[in-house]
Amino acid sequence: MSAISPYFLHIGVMTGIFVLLAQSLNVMLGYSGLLSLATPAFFGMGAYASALLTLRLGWDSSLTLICASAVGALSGLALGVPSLRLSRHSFVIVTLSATLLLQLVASNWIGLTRGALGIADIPTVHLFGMPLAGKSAWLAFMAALSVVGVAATWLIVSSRLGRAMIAVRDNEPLAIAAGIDPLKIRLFAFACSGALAGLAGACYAHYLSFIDPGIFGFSISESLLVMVILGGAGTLWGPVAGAVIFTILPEALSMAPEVKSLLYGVLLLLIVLFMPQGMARWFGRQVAAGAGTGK
Amino acid sequence: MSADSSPGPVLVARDIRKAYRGVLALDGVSIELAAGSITGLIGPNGSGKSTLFDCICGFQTRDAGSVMLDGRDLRGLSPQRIARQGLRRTFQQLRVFPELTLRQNLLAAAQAAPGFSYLSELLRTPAVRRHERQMAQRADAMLEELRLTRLGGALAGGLSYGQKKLLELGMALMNEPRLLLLDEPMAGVNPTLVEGLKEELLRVNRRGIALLIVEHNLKLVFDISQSVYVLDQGRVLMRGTPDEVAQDERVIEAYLGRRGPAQGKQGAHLD
Repeated sequence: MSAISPYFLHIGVMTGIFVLLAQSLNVMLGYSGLLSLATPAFFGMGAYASALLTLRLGWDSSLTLICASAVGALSGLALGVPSLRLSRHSFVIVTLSATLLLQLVASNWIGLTRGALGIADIPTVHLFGMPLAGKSAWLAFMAALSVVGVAATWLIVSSRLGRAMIAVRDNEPLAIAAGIDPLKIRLFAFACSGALAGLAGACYAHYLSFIDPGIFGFSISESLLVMVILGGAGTLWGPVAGAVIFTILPEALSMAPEVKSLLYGVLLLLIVLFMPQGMARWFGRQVAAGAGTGK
Repeated sequence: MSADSSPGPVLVARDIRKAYRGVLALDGVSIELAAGSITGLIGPNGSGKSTLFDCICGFQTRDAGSVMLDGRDLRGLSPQRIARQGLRRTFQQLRVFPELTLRQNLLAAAQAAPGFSYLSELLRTPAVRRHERQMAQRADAMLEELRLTRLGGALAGGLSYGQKKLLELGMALMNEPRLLLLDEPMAGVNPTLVEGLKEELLRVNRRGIALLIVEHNLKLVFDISQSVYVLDQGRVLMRGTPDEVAQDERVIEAYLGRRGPAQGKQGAHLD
């Protein structure tokens, strides 16, 4: 493993974090049909929760990772109760506002978060007492967690509640007529989304050993939207592919952030025009068409 | 439809009132449906039929009036809870879950059975898993009955209109409701399929499920209903057997006489 340059290992670790985040957005946007811009909020909550629990209370990080996930899920519930009753448009605005509000809190609650100075020297993750030392260990860990994240998403969406989630997305009045409560189903989705993003946030904090309020930034949502929509919202593997491609691509092209923003904007436009269902479904159709003509 | 021989009514709605911004849509409507009966609900466009449906199922709140299902007051219950009590409905505009397979559509419709709780769903308790297995069997039987077995694994969005109609009916039946409200079941159905769908409805009724049918195809309504309510301008104009209704002067005046059955324009300010 030592032959691989630390730079590539770093990109690999970040890809793993973005796979978790993409699935977090996918549960909302893809499977629940709700555009949530709160994924960075849960990401940041998880990051701060795990960092503070480790540093202030000296908790073991294998425990704080689970706590971060729980904090993310609870944040999802807390934000969902008021916001999920709103219209779709208001929901988008409220999720964005919540994220920016948390950024303000993180910047100004200096006693807890050290404000803009950020929290430094966050220890690496210890698994059953063994520290994750070095980037290759982190890559292996994040690869495993990505698998866990995708498996968890699969478990969620293939469960009866997941089916109800898709039902509510597809036709809300019919779901109600079938006895399903859309609010409760969406709360469940939001909690799952929060749990995935919270876990990603904790990993991010312990991996980089430094976090600051910038973690609540909108740019994360922007990247995630490209990953999930281009990959294929509402499919299991599309957002994974999206996360891999759009973590590696900007690095490979060594893009300036402004160029990246521009590119993502143009890409989103092209996707919506030509591949509105995303790559995963597009490829699925090509394969199906190929199989059809092959006969 | 005498009360002494039949069991108690499955549904009693009393004095339902509903206004939209001062326009009265329902002005004290009372209906009573005998258990296991087929009842027609007709009236010109805008007479309040759909509003009455919505007010019974809880999709819209009532300004006044009460609804009892099997003697239980439905006051204050959300529409999804009312559905779980055994009162199901279909919609004027055909609805299925397009991104789920036929089988998943049936299962999603059956999931919220009596005893349903979100916590046990989350924990996948043995009871939930048992219920899912039972429902899977029933879904297979339903697909068989609707002659859609071959399409069980296909996405519902790709079905023809007629197939979707059948699926919609199957979904409403999965939990053996006490009463099924059908909002224009024949709308948009190819005339050649009307007979088949009619047979389907009669078969449903023979299982003991009461039906309340809003329908513009009056021939069908008169054919299969034991009793018919006529709504006009938010009031019950009359209730009677199909024969009585078909011959009543007021009904002919309000509905049949002035225009063809499918297109009463008068009173179209609502609905």
